[in-house]
Amino acid sequence: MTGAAALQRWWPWVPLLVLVLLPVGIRETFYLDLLMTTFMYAAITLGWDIMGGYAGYVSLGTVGFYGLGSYAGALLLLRFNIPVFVSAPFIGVLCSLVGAGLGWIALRTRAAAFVIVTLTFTSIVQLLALNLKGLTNGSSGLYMPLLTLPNNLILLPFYYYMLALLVFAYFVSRAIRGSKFGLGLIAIREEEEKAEGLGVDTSLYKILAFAISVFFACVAGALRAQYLNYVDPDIAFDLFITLSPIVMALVGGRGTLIGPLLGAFLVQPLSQYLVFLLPSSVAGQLHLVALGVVLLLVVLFMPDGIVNAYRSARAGGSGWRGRRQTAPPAEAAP
Amino acid sequence: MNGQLLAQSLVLGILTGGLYGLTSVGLSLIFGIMRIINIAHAALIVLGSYLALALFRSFGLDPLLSILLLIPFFLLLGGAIQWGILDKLSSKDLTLTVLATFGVAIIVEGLQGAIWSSTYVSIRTPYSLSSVQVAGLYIPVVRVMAGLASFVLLAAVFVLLYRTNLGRAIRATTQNRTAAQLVGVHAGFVTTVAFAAGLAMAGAAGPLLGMLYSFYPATHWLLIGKLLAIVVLGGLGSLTGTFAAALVLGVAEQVAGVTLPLEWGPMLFYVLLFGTLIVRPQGFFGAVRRGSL
Amino acid sequence: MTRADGAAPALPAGTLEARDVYRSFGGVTALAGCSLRVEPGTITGLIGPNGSGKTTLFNCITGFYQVDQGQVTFGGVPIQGRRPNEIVHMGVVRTFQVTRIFRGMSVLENMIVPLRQQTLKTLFRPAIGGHEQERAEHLLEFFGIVQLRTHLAGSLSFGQQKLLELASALMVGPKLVMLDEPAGGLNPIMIERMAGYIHELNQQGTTFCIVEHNMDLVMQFCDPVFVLHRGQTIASGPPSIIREDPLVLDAYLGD
Repeated sequence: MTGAAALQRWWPWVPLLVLVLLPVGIRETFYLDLLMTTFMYAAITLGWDIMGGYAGYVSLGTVGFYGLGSYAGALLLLRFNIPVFVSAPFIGVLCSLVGAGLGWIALRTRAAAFVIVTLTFTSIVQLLALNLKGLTNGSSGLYMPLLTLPNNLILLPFYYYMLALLVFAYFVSRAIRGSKFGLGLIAIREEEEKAEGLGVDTSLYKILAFAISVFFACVAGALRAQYLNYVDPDIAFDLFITLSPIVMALVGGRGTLIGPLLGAFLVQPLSQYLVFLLPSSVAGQLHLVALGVVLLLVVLFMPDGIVNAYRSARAGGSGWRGRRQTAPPAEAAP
Repeated sequence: MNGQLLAQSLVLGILTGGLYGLTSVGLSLIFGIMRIINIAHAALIVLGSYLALALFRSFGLDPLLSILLLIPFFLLLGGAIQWGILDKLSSKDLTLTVLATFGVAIIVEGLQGAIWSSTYVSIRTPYSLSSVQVAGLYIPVVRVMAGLASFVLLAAVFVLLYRTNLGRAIRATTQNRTAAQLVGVHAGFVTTVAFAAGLAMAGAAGPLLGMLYSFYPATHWLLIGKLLAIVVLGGLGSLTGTFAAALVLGVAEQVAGVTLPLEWGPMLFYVLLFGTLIVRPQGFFGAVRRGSL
Repeated sequence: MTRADGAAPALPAGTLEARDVYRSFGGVTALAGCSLRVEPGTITGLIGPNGSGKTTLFNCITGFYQVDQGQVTFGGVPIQGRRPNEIVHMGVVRTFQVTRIFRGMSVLENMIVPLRQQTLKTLFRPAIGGHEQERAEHLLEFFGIVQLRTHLAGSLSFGQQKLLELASALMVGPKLVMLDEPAGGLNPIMIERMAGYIHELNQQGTTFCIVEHNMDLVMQFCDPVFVLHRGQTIASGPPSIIREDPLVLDAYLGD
């Protein structure tokens, strides 16, 4: 293997190595917390993009699954004494099953039903969390016992767990992108009827994609609840969990592998900085406004995101979203 | 449940149903003509509530009268959103239009929170607590006013749609944009008018809802879920179907409110929404039309 | 849903038969009892004036529309009410009047999307590579566009896109290919080339059913020919007879 080829092959592992070693050098909770939150958003965004980017179906229900994960993690801990670090992956699988059921309802038809169902799903789960008081303690929320770790180390397991979730999300997304399944999802985005006419079971593909895509939000929700040692309907159903990944995927570039990563690592630190700058009484509200404005601007002026814009600029062509091959101009018809 | 209570629920249900009709028919109109799900619809209704509250507090303007100011304001706002944002997007791409209206909803919610803070408020007029007695039933004055005002406004909208040339043009464009353009309808203008009209209905409903229920910036998420349930039940894009579904759900919610604990009320909407999508995705009241979803 | 074992059951040689098919759209009748029969090994033509219901019939046969009334069978098995992808797996594939390809994908990727059968194992296999890629490149070679395999499909010329659409339809290994205006919009040289491919594929055993406006092409290649008018089949038979049929002349020249 030549040096250049080795570089090509191994460079993705360099940032990962840096992220793994960072906590050795950086001890400030603020930065580690920021990084952990960024990992979380990056994983959720990669998941969202499997449905929103590859298949082109926008879900507005991300936080519904996140909240479901939060409560599931808390309840399994409080009722059955199962640590969240153990239960989280299983909770993710459970959420995928819920996602498949939801997909079965919404995805046999076209996009409008999917938007409506995912949007109301969040309200349904939130309503359940609020009203099933015997189980969830209603709006008072559930307190979870602290991990028994020294104060300065308490963040680390969450840091590495979220990083692992992110790495897993990356490899899942990459495997899908290169597979026949992923090609089918992109076919659905481009010409759904045509894909169906070529034998692709579009409903099955979409349901499967949605089931996979919600896994990450769910696991993240479970971990986050334990990190905060607390869950209530406001925290578990925080609008930012739905909003931020959408903004991140759009800014970075939908339907690409790097786009959601880039978007998360760009938007989340900037968001935190903005919140830091604003007076705390209106910080949350203006943060919403800022993300809303960015979303509108991206939708209007750069709907393909940074990665795709860069690629098509470099290819000089009109190709969009997730091109790997460059496209030379067509030859004249023979 | 005795007869008295049932009668009471029926009357209240029809009055609330009128209000649901006013809000959801606008949403359905917008979907029908533009194939856009206006996620911001309920956020703009809440904006109407806040503006009416501000006018009431600052100038003592009666919420009912503030509707007359809000209608032109929301017509202009609708025109601006359509011209400045939605018209710039390809209407074929549902993905982008949904994200755009989602963005508008977020911005409206955030601004409301920044200006009016995130606590519950409501519009309390001098007559807020009085009731009228009709045939032995006690009905709160505000509910009668909100219901009647909704029916009057809805009647005006239906007259506009079914009795005027502009209305014919709107319905023609909804049915078949290309064909409408071929017979000389200016589809762009008509679309803008329809979108603005839909938002005006939302804006007008704001003060009425604000008189009945307390609200805060994020209440619109619960409301948009209810409205979408009504619209799907009625058949996306079908106006008469949406109106019928609004009345049915208005009554059902009141009846359920008597028998079920209050906090489960919204669940009724979601159960019906999911049930409809499973059994009959094209809705129950609207004309059966291919690809309506 | 897919078959669990992923294997296609042995079908009898595929005769496609549509009998007394009705279909209307909100009061407008598009098909009023029309019939069509495609025998294996033929190139069957389907003609008719604009709006006579040809494309609607195509959509009804391939599962894109439900039929209101009537029967559609392939190899004796009823296929109405099935999803388009299921019908593909029974051996019937179609192309569209307005060419539909996946413009943002490479030519080769366009060839890989079609599915003959699916199991979870094949779904998560790498898209490009192996036997399937060989088959795809073989087909592209047959159509003379293999040198474009890494190009973006949307950057191909119109004629090349039409060839690609046909080539990708063949990837599902169909018994019957339904072509909606394969020559539409092509220049005379390209038309001849397209006709040559269809003829050759037919010689190799693929059945075709073709909607086409180019009468010379239909009369030269298709046998039998079915004629639709106002949603009904008004004539069928070999081209020499169709040409002389007074009802057909009326349909085209009348009203």
